Amino acid sequence: MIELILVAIIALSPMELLTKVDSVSTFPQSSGIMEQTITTTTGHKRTFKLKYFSADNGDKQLMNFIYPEAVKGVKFLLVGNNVWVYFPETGRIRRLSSRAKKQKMMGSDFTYEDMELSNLKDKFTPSDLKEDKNYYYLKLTPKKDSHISYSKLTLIIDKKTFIPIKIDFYHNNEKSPLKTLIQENIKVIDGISTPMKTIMIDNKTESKSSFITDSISYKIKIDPSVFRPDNLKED
Amino acid sequence: MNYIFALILAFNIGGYFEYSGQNFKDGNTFPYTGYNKINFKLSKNYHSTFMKAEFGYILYHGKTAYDLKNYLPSVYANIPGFTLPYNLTSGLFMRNGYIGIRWKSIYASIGKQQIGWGSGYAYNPTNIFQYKTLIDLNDEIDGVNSVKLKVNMPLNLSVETVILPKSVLDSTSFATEIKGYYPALDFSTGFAYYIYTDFDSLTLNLTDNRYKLILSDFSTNILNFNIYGEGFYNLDRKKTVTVLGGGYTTDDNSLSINFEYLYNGYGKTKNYNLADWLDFLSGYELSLGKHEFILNINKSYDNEYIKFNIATLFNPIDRTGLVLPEIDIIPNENSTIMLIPMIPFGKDNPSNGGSEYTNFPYGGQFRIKINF
Repeated sequence: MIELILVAIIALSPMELLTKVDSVSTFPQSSGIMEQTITTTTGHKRTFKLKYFSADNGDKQLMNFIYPEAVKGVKFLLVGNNVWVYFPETGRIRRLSSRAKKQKMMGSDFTYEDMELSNLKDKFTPSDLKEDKNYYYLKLTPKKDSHISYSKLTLIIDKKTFIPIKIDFYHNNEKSPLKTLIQENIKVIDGISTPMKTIMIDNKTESKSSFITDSISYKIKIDPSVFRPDNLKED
Repeated sequence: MNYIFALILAFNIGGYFEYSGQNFKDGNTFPYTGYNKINFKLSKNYHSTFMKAEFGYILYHGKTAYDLKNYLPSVYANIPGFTLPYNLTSGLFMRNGYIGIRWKSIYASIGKQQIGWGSGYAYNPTNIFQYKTLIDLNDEIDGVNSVKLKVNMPLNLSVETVILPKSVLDSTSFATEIKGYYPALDFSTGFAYYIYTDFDSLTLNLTDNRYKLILSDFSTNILNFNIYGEGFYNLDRKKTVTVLGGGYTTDDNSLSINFEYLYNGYGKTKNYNLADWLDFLSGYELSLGKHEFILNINKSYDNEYIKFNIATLFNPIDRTGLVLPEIDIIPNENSTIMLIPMIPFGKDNPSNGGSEYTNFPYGGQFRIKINF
């Protein structure tokens, strides 16, 4: 009964809310520097730094590792469902398998797919919208042709910024979430609310990976040629 | 002096220190050979120009003078007075050092640089200017003194040309490839006119021969498998060298399996001679046999804190092979500890001029690398 009342007084429909979420999480282009820290199951920590470029509302992404020395210059290029990787030690560009987007990136708890959680309304059907004083609660089910590896996502969305502050990722309709994403320390950059820290927790292994944004710009002009696989070799 | 110091500080500086120690069977002993290596990497981008250098110093210790005849089958190793000396020499090295410029859709670089052609993991027959030497202690391949020119074309195509200039025009090699990267397929195809070095089977001296090659490679995805291949056809010798491979990785990225088949038209199915062995041991040939397989299984634990890898090379004709199990521990982002044993298997066949992997030495290598 309480649930029915809650639904009745919500001004937004699930799709309208998801459109709002997309509008604050999807940008024509962005570029920045991020620091990734992986905390393994046994408590070991590894830190990476990468420079990234994103265009076409997140459909094209280039990640260029700048730290540590061992992976400096390794580049990952995501264009649609294709992933290429460049190894500077050998000067070689490799296409990864079509499953690569569902795989963990550089030993972290983020998959390549997780790195481009934008345009959600094109990939998911929203439902089960609820709210309280500060947050919306929304369930997302992947559309049939979206090739998403999760069976559902549940989002807790900040009412002020429309940024999902917590996302639970479910796999194979299991009861407890496989992974949990937390977005915090929201700052306004170039007029856009931006979570400066993103943490992904693997609830099965209890490992976690965090991304801290060192710098980001949404007003940058990016040369489209940086998203050509054959340009990965260029210094 | 201050100017030199200031100049160095203007570059991005990185590098690593590496210690490696190994004990491999050599005759009737298991001698120790090791090295300490310091490697510096300098790079600088200035507007549309860039410069990179990688150099350092390597200091070998333990046994540094080898006789490679100990790695030959008994039919050659027992020839009286026959030796194949191989010395590991300490000293300065330069692995890469080049400058380049980017102008619109043209990218040109000159100096000692990586070429990196081909789609194979273990075998890269189309990477014709860079040799992998099996007896080399380092797993890194030196760059090649060359001029590289890449021109981006419409439709995601590009043309890459590599020239290896020599003082005599007749010794200059070149190769050019057109490359395409598409959602369903990556491919390259091209032509090489180049000097190839191998052992003369009569004199056993190294000889240079000029050949014309047609090169090609591809990579695609079929049923969640990464399928790839590369190869060349030698128009003068009418020989083909081809690799076909496939790979599969689980979603959590903790297990990956990779398989490659090599057809080496220069290889043999029987009666290996001494020149064949020398070509193979020095890295001028990818294999001794006409057919080779490699299976690589990689399993990682704890977010890649520990990795296990087993590579198995197999020659199906003489039924010999090598097993290379490897353990990598990555205690933090700046250091790696590696343990790499080597186990040959199969029977020697002296009447056939030996078997490909029987005479490879048992042993193992320990390596620690600290980046800075």
